[in-house]
Amino acid sequence: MANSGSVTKSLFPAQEKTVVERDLDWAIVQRVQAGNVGAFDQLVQKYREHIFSVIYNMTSNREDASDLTQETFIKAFQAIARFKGKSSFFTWIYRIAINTTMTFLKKRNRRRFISYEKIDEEVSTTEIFERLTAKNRSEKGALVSELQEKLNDSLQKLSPKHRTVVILHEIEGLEHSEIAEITKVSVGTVRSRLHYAKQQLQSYLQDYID
Amino acid sequence: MVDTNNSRQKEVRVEDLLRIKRAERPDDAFWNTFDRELHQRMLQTLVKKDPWYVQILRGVSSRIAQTATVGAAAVFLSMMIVRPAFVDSSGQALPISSAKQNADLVSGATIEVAMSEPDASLTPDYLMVSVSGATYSSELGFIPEYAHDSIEVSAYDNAAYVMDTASFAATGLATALVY
Repeated sequence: MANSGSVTKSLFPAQEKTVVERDLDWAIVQRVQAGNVGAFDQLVQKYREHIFSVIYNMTSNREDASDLTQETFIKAFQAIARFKGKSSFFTWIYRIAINTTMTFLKKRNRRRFISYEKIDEEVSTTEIFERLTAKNRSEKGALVSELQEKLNDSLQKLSPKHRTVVILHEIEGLEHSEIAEITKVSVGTVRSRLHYAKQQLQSYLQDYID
Repeated sequence: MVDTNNSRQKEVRVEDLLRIKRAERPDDAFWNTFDRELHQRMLQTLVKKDPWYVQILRGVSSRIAQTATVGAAAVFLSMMIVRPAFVDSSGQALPISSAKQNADLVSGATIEVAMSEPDASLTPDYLMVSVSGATYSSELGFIPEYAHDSIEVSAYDNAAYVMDTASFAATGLATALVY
């Protein structure tokens, strides 16, 4: 857990750190490729929360997200011998996760089972809830569950492609270029999808936005 | 100006609402179960055998690929070896059958095949003897109601002749093949 927390901070802000992370990952990948299967566990520990978060927000279901996250790591484990390091490991594993989830969503079709994760009390979220509570004059506990439901519902209304871009950028904090690499579309397409998705979300979440 | 900034800071935007999703995290118990299940599944992946039909398909496809490769190599080699026989020095292919040969075939004329004539000056190291059942019939003292055919065979010294087949070596006779 502590390990993955440090990754959250180091993955996104500075490009230098991203390069360092990329090299570290590549070193671990090479160890796995050399036959050290146990080294793969380091990659699991490092990325499991990010992968779970993406899939959970894509599916809005805790059990499905857990299964698909495991499936993602198993697929990566099976294919790691063929990983040549042309892209970073994190781009590669995100791509596997997105593709696995997309396939799952196509099969699941219109059935939706929404389950919610517990929200960690952080400074940033507390501040937002305070603002919302003051605005709506409602009790915080009720507002949290109501907003959680509304957010998940709004995300599910987006098409999977638009949902992916919003989740990767706004929730995972990835840059446009990284999303473009993961989803194999141009940066312009990423920006356009993000713009459209935000507009959609703004209309769905009108009651909570100033 | 200060008031405007403060009011902007207090505005709730879509990005702020989505930030709440970042804080939606499973607890430690979830991750313990997750790790245990993942390890089990990974171990299963490592030891799992493919279903029988996948094994058969894999075997057949590899055999086909192997045969195809060997076949292609054989065809290529034979092309490389045989092709020069049909190509003259100028690189033009020679006709396999000439017009005369075709005409002979159509008219039914006898086609002479070049063969070496037996050399009369050479002394054969074997004798040609006629073998027939009649010899044995007369020795036994009865007159058969049928005629015996006879065949010519060569008689030779079996000590000076090595045969592959034991039965032929024992009799010391080799059938003279007459075409």
